[in-house]
Amino acid sequence: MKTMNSRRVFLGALFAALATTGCDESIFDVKNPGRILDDDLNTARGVTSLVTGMSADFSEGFDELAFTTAILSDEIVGSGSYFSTGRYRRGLFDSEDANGRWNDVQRARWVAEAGLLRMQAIEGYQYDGNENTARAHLFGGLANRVFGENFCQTVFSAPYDEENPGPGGEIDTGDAMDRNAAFQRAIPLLERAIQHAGSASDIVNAAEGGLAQVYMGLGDFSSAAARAARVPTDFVFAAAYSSNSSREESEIWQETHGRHEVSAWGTLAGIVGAGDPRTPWTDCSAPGSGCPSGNGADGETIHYRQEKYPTRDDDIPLVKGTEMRLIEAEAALMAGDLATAMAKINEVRTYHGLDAVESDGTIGQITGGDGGGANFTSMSGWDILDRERHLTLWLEGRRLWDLHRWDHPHLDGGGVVYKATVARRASCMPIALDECQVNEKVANLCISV
Amino acid sequence: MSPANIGKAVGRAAATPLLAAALMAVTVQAPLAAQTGTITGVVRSATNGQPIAGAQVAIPALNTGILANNVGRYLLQNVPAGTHTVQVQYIGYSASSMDVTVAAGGAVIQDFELRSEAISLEGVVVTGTAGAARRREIGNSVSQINEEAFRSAPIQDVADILQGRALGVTVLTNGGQVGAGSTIKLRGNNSVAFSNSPLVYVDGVRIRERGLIHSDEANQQTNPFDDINPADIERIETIKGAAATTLYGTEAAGGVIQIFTKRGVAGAPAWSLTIDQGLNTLGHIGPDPDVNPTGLGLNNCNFTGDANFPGGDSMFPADPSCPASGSWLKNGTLQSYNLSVRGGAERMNYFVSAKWGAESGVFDTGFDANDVKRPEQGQETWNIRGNFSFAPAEDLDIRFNSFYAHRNVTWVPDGNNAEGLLLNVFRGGADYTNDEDGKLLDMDITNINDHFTSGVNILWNPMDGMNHRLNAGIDWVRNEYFEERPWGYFYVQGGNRETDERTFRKLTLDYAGTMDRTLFGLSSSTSIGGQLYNDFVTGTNGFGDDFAGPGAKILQSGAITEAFEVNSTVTSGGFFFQELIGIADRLFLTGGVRVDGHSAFGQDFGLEIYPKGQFSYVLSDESFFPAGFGTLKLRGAFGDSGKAPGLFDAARTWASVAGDNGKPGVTPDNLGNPVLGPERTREWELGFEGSTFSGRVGFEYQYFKQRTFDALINVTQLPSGGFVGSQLENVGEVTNAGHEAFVNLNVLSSSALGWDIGLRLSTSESRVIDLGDLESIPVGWRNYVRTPVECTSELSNAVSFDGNGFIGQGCTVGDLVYFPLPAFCEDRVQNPDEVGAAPRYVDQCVGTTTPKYTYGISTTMTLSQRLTLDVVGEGMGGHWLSSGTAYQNTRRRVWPLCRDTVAAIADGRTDQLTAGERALCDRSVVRYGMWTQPADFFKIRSASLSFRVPEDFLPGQLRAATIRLQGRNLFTRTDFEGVDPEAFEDGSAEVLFRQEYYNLPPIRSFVLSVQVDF
Repeated sequence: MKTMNSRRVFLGALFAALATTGCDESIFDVKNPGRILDDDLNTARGVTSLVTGMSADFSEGFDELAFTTAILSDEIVGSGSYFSTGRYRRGLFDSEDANGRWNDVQRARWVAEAGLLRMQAIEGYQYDGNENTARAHLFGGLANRVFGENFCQTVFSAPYDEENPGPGGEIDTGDAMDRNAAFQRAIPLLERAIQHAGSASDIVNAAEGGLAQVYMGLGDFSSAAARAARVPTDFVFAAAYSSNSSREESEIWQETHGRHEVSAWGTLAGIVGAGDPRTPWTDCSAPGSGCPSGNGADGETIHYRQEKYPTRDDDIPLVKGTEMRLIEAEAALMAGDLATAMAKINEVRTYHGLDAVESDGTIGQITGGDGGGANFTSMSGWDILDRERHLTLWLEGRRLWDLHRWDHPHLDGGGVVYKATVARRASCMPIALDECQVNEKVANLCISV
Repeated sequence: MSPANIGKAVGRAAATPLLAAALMAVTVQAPLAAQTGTITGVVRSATNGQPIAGAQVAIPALNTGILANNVGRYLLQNVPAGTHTVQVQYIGYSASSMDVTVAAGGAVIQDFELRSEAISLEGVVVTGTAGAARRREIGNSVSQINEEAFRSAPIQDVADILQGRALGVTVLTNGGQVGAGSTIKLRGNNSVAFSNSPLVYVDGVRIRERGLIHSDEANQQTNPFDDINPADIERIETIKGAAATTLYGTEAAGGVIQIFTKRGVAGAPAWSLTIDQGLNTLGHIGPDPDVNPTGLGLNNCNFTGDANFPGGDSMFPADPSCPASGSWLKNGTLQSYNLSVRGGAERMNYFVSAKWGAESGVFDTGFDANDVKRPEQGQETWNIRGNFSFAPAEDLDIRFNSFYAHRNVTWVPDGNNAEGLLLNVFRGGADYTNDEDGKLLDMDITNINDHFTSGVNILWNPMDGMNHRLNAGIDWVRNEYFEERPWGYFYVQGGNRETDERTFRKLTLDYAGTMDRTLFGLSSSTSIGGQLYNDFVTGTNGFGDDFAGPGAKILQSGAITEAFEVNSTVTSGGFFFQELIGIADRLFLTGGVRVDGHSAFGQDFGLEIYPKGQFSYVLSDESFFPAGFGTLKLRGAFGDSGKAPGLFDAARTWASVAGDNGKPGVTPDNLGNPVLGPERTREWELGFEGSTFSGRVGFEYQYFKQRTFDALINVTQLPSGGFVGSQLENVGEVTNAGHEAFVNLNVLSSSALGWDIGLRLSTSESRVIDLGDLESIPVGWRNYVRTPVECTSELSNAVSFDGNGFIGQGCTVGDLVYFPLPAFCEDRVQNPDEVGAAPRYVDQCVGTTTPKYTYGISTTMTLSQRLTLDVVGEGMGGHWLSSGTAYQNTRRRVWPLCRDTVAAIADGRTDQLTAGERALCDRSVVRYGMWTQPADFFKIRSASLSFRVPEDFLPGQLRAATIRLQGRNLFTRTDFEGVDPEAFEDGSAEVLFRQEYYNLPPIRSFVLSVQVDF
């Protein structure tokens, strides 16, 4: 029979050491390089990064939104293998499709709005009159403008816990609201952007232009035209994209140059926009085009590759002076002033080096019916404006909103590239499924098509 | 020592050379009697005549024994004159005994032949405590695969050993890219948010079991598990379910695979050299040749005509870049050379091996436009191993086990990838390449693994009944991946390169101690232990875009570069206590508890406690049990195990991003959850096992039921609250239940003819009970995890267009309808027989997408112990698979099964088509749900014919020689209409969903193998 000896002591000590080590709390600490803890952002030196993050989050979602709405509105046609683009080109868009876009715009809105609350509370940060404060307001305002323009309804909730009250105060109830709520929310943000911008004219012009867009959204064309008039024609404020990192790259470039998922073939730009500097594209099926393939990824749609954004660094305009002239033109049409409207339209064409157009003398109404939903030949005031806004704002995430607010014939199937399988094409994005799943107040408002 | 106790001692010796050494010591120390003799001989397998190194030979009445040496030879010395019963045992074989009469001063030669036995109550298994446990003592099932079971099979990697041989183990071969990993699951799925993959231990050291770099271009990843040389493996034990894995703690809810490599055995060096030569091949691809003569353009890419399709196949026209052979496919070569040696003395022994292997895939990658050889699909591997044991004292055994493996794997672009070869070939002219698909092969996709594992096992037996075990080890994997599009590449003219390099280091420190004693007439075995695991991952990932010109590249060759870094450390640890009470060596009751901590638990969470309990009752040891039946054990077990959340899931964090053209910014990253803890899986298992007909029939059955509660669910945060994304919360509940049955028949057992048949069936059916406030979580392409819904008449009475049913069909209105984990949900046609009508769809769920049952049949037939035929067949079913290939090809009018419908539509005869025909084949209305089908299949996984060369024909230096003709993946039977029922577009074990999407199906291999022992 063996007996224990001194090695028993050794092993006992070894186990005790192991046990002690296992109980040491520090050994279970999470090593977390690369992440920034929430409290660490409460410093004046971190504000610039916070505001740059607002810009980054805005851009991160906006190119996706511009890409999606471009297909839904036949600015460009889905010609690839993505399941989603196959739905969008037929005008199908439901709450599950909306998840990504809804989350993107909510994040872009919230990081700016909540960031402003944080900035106000940071000790040592000069809040008033600071350009960072102005930019944060601008991104918050533009995010709300994008929200209102593209979604059928809006929802604002208090953020993630009680310790962090919502930037919207009582309005953040989690209830579904009219899209005008987003426009209304944008107005004070954009006004304050101007207030804090001081001599930063790009912020001032962008905020003035944003206000013009918002007032147009609210149907207040008087205020819209007044704000638009303050923005010079050559002004452009854009969402920034860059080849600096993959997150900063433009999605529209990726899906047209990096891949062949959407094409200008069959669209207004593809048919009447050829040679128009506002809607440049390359026929990839032509000899010497330099494209890897002549067709889209579906193997049969000719790939008319957009060249408005020929590199992954190309920014997507958010506020342009040329659009301001078109807002003024639309306000004039609303007021029955065809001459002013045509003058403003031709101001834009001249700016782009195009010949002026002449109306047939009638204001008329939007008739649509040809490719891309526009009427190719009608020279009534409204049909001209329809075409000019389409071509001037091509691939800038604005067309779906125009279709919706004009109740455009395209939505009922006029001049679509791919026939819809529903009676009426989607003209706005519904509340996202992600929202319906966790927000009882809107649980029944999601749609599935 | 009673025979039973000898059995116990010998059984323990199988896994504990310490005890073996003790047995040897007893032999050595036996007093020399004046009237003694010796008994010697060789222990062989009755099946194939191969010597069994390490077999335990004992004379229980004399309390003496010894291990057979490395060539199966044993020598019992100083045996008193007289007649003695000599017993021989070894894991996986039935015991054999024989009366041997020894004359004083005489030497008796007595050989033994052991018959393989799948289930033996006297066998031992590893359970997490010190040493090994006898099977009769444990209350849960453990599948054990011994080398004998796979020695003659065409094993290319470790997953091949498990496939079709282990009960309750599902191994899905995801594709045919050489070197790509398989998906391995034990008892199906029980976790929503995390991998359901098992933990893997090699000689007591936990290794990186999954999660190497995933190739976005090949849609594959290697499995570190497969770096191990299969020829080094002595046995594998699979420990399934929480009831069995409690002592392994957090992260073990997916089960545990224990791999034990070969050890040295006393004796002169015994060498073994195995040379394999063979080829990889692939047969006809896609639907039958009568409608698909070119095999979707892959078998024949230069199609010029066929009786059925005069003038050529318009769907798959000739490709100008088609290889000269007229096919994208070729026969890839396969070769490997494995050399091992084992030997040693009583107190020190060794096993050393080395292997080199190379194989090429089935794609003919050819030459690029400049006549430069393109990267060839294939892999090169080499492995070395050294296992050394020494016993510095009688009660101390120290083992060092180390291996190093290097793998260099090259893939072709594949799967869900615009630049994938199959995607472009299968789509005919409707592709991305203008039907010059060879251009895709200019891309270089290379994956390099360096894998080093080293561990020390210290086994200390200071006194009878007391065992201590200390394992310490390191598993180190360096995984380097790069993909490069050369300058001038058709799709990205400037070319680009991605390099991803990661190092995974896992440290294991594991102590366990067991004290066996008798208390109040009961046997007691008390175990305590503690483990600490440290998991460190570091790596960099870089991109370089737009090269200035041709030539070899590095990242900074690109005009645009980008870099990322990974760096994380996770530590987990815990302690356990277990008490096993044995009554009359036939009824065993076990209770235990494990307490765990983990880096990833929330700050306010604390420690996690996992209980376990088991019983085992050897009914056949009772006097009332019919004599002659054999053995029968009833058993039951319950236990908890868990899965830890991710490293940063508990903390609220922001991530660094760039904005405004490269300026630093921040974005919300993780909301955080201070009370985040592991999800827990509780399992009950009841079953029995035994053998009858003198051990010729072995059987095993168990029913298990798992309930995962506090299941970690990625809960979507309120988007309108701004902090978008999801946060893990302990809110879900999932159940999983199934049956497992195994029968092994030793039909014939004689030296003239031996015939074994193994039959196995295992089922697992998961069910989602609760997802917190969520109704549905997408987990991959149209794969969902869904909460139960109330049955409605609309759901119950919906149409199953293909007659294969759907979830909820025929349900009782008002009852709850449960969904499996996961289900596939998409549109399916409701008016299939309506002529001239457009299809009407409803969203229907089918599934699950993971097999519900797996069955296998294996048979081994041996003639004259020399000629052995070994066949393993396996079937899986009850699951559905979406064929992305069929759907996407239909959208492009190039799916051969739709020729007639497409022609009718082109002719304007739509009004003559049924809605069902249009729903399947009309590109304007087809849905994914229409090409999602039951994926039941049966495959011949392997077959081999082995011939052991008669010793008379061997040169003097050779002990044995065996020639084997082997085949792998030889036959498939399925009604699935996609490319292959096992194909998976994303060869990753990390995800729940499955879909076939233009990825290379599993390939076929033929190997001629020669093994010589000398």
